Formats: sequence, C-alpha cells, structure tokens
Amino acid sequence: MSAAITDETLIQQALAGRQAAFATLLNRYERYAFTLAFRLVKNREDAHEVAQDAFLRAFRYLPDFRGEAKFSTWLYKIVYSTSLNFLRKQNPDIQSLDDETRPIKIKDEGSVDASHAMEQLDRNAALQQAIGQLSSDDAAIITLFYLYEHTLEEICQITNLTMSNAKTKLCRARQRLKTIVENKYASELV
Amino acid sequence: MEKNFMLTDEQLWDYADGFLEADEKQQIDAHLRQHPAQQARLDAILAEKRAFATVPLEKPNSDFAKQVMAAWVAEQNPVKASVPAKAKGQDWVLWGIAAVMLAMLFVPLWLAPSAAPTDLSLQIPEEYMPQLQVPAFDWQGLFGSAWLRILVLITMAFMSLKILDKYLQVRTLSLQGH
Repeated sequence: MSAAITDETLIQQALAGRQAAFATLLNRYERYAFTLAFRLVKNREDAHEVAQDAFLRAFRYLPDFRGEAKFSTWLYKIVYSTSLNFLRKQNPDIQSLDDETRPIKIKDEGSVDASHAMEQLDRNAALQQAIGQLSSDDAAIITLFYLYEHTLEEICQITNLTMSNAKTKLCRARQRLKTIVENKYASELV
Repeated sequence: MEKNFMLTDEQLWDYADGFLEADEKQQIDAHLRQHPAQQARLDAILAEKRAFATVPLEKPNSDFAKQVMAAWVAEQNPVKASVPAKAKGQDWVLWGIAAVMLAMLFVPLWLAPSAAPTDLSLQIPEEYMPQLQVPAFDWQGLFGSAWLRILVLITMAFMSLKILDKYLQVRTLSLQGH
C-alpha cells in the first residue's frame, strides 16, 4: 500500500500531523539512510545513532522541505551532514572525509580485470567488503551514484561539492574500489 | 582522426555513466561499432557498473524504526515524555508519604477526647449509655519521642529531595528546548 503513495503525499500527510506518514517515510528510507551512514562512519552502532539523529532532524525540519529536490536527496544530505558532524566530534582535526593521501593504483597492462575478478568471487560480498575499505567520502559517493542512482547534480547537493570535484572524486573512488577488488582477488589466488 | 582515436578507460566509464556530451557519445558509438574489442571493454565496464548497483543495502537492527518513531513521538509530546516510566512507577512512594502525613495529621484529631459529642448523654438514657472509656493519649510522650522527631525529619528531608529532583528534571527538559 505504502509503495503506491508518493513521497510528496506522505510529506503532506506528515505535515498534517499523521504519525503513520512519518512511519512510512521511515520504513521506506531506513535502509538507504542507514547504509549511507554506515558507509560514512564505518561502524554499525554509530551508524544507528547517526541515522536516527538524521531522521529526527529530517522530521523536525520537514516543514522547511520545499520540494525543489527529491525527498531522498534532501534526506541523504541530512544523513551526510549528520555523519560528518559525528566524525568531526570523534576527531575534531578532521577537515575532509576524503583521504587524499591514499594511493591510486592505475591498472597495469597485465593485471586482472576487476570484472573478471568479481566473476570468480561472490561478487556482492566482495564489493560490499571492498566498499567498506574505502574512505568515507569514496564509499559515500560510490553508494550515492551507483547504488542509489543519484545524478552528479544530486550528489553535489548532498555533499556540497562542485560538479567537477564530484566527478573527479567519483572517478578516483571507482579506481580505488577496483584496486581493492583486484588486490583481494590476487590475494585469494595466491 | 579515426585511426588515431584511442579510447581510454575513463572515456568508457564516462560513456557508461552518461557524462558525455551528445557529439562525444556519437563519436564513441561510431568507434565501438567498428572495434568489437573496444565494445567488449565497454561491456565489461557496464557489467562492473551493474555489479556496483546490486550491492545489497545494509540492514539496521529490527527495532530501529520503532526506536526512531518512539524518539519522534517523545520529541513531539515533551510533557508526556518528561515523565519517565521509571518515575511514573515511583509515584506510589509519593502517595505513600502523603498518606502517612495525612494520617499523622488526622489520627490524633480522631483520637482526641474533645472530638467526642458531649450532649449525647442528654438524649440517651443512662442505662443504655455504654461505659465508654476514652483512651487517655499521652501527647507529651508522643511529641517528646526522639524516634518520632527523627521520622519526621527523615520524611521532610526525603520530600525535599523529591521536590529538588522534580525541579531538576523540569529544568533539564527546558534547557533541552522542550
């Protein structure tokens, strides 16, 4: 039943005071919000705290949602900023989620192609594990673009990156992910 | 130009991700039609992209939604939420103390000899009058008792602490912006 109701309708109902509409929005997005929080904070317990905080903030500021972006984009922006705040509290020195120092290994001529590697492994498990090894920023941008199928424009709204920055980061995150998968495959072959 | 046209992985990823302008896309389409090996590279990239899109979502704890909704309801109803379940369960302590204090107030009045009606003997014949023995109450002894004084002091101290506790609870909630 809830799948047929659009986010916009649910938001209107929630703003009219219907608790069931909040619950439906929550059920619809809890796994997405939790996954994004988990990718960013890298810990299930902390991800629960961050995701709960993000939902409460979203519900609290729902009257401010203008509908200029998709509800999911708006919600993920809150999850992203809540995660960032959480990480900054944990480590006040943190300036950016991105790990600029992490080396990117460009594929060598004779290296095993990641797509072939994944055919040999349990692809989903391998990728999930590999995404977990990425930096928070890389994991978030990969998740938002490929898993949640958000456009670069939407990712820019969520992360406050410029288009060119977002594209560069996506490319770099993808290369790092491939490297991790390839290394995993290579180590399992040994 | 076609002879020198070399497709990089990045161009193929940009193609797969839909980042290319229409003319660039047309150029690559034409190149791919003539070069099956490049088309195979693109197919591998598209397979990789599909794999990225099928990574399962993480699953929060089963009571996550329930906890969020409970927190949301509590935030919307600060008055109800400000009375924790534990404190509600301790109301009987307050009621008990109030009952003891009322009893301490009224029992001596009930026992007081002055409370007995004096004109009743005028209406009831003497032979029917029960031989009432009004108990003599040792007020001096009661109020002079060190145990009673200690009990009253402890009760008052306890009540003061409860009142202070309630005040601090209300103050904390108001500071939290409820």
